[in-house]
Amino acid sequence: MFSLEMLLDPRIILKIITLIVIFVYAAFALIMLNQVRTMNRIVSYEPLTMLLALIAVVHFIAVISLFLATVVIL
Amino acid sequence: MADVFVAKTVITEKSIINTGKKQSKTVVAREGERHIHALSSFCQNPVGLHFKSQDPDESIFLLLRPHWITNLPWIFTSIFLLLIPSLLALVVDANTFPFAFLPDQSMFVYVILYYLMVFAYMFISFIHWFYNIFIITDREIVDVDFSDLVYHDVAATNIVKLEDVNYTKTGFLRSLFDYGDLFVQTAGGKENLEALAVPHPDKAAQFILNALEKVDANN
Repeated sequence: MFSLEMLLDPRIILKIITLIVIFVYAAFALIMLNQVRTMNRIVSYEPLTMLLALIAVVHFIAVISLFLATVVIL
Repeated sequence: MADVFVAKTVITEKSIINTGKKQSKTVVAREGERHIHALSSFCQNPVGLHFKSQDPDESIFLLLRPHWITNLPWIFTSIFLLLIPSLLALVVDANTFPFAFLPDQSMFVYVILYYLMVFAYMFISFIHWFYNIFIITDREIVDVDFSDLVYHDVAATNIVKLEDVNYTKTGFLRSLFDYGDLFVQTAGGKENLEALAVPHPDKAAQFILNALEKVDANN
């Protein structure tokens, strides 16, 4: 069980703050991905538009992976 | 033996507008050889480009986007941001480093997060340049503005509604690299389109006027 002392531990506080920051950043990465997909629907310039969508997806996956890694590592 | 890979030959009729004269030219191109200069800022008759409201028989004459020189500020900023951790490691002593109390695992997470953020900055800067385009077709002019991540604007106007085309080219860099702002006014001023920092604005303006003349002649 979580105790108050455990919550006041600087490492736990740091971990929570880091997770919040990465979560917000993941939301930002998702917006970026959606925007790229929307723009690709408006203007298609193959194969570069597909490559941009792929980069946005990889970036989003990397952020999610970092979030999970932070939960485990920190 | 049957041929497995045979490039399809496509014959397309393209009407090319050049220096006010209408020329009809038959272009024979192999499907496999079709390519585009996707990162071009001034691309005539681009192949492979499509936009949402494009009609099946509508052909694109010109694609404009900001001059490549406009990318230099974010490229230099990105290089600087990428070098910051290495520079810090060289300059700051490990004992006096303000975050020395953090465990190695934490540093790993923060360094990865930092580089992801720098990458996102580079990516957004690139797509900001890439999606800010101005398309001139044989029927309409389409202006796609990608201002930031949560805002984009697409404006299109029929080419017959055009009233005035003008451009400005001021400043040392703009004169040196031949780029400027192109403005297109429509009848009634309902929809004014602008292409900022595009290369050869004089040629682009002439291109639009020629396209308009062609449409007028056809009508």
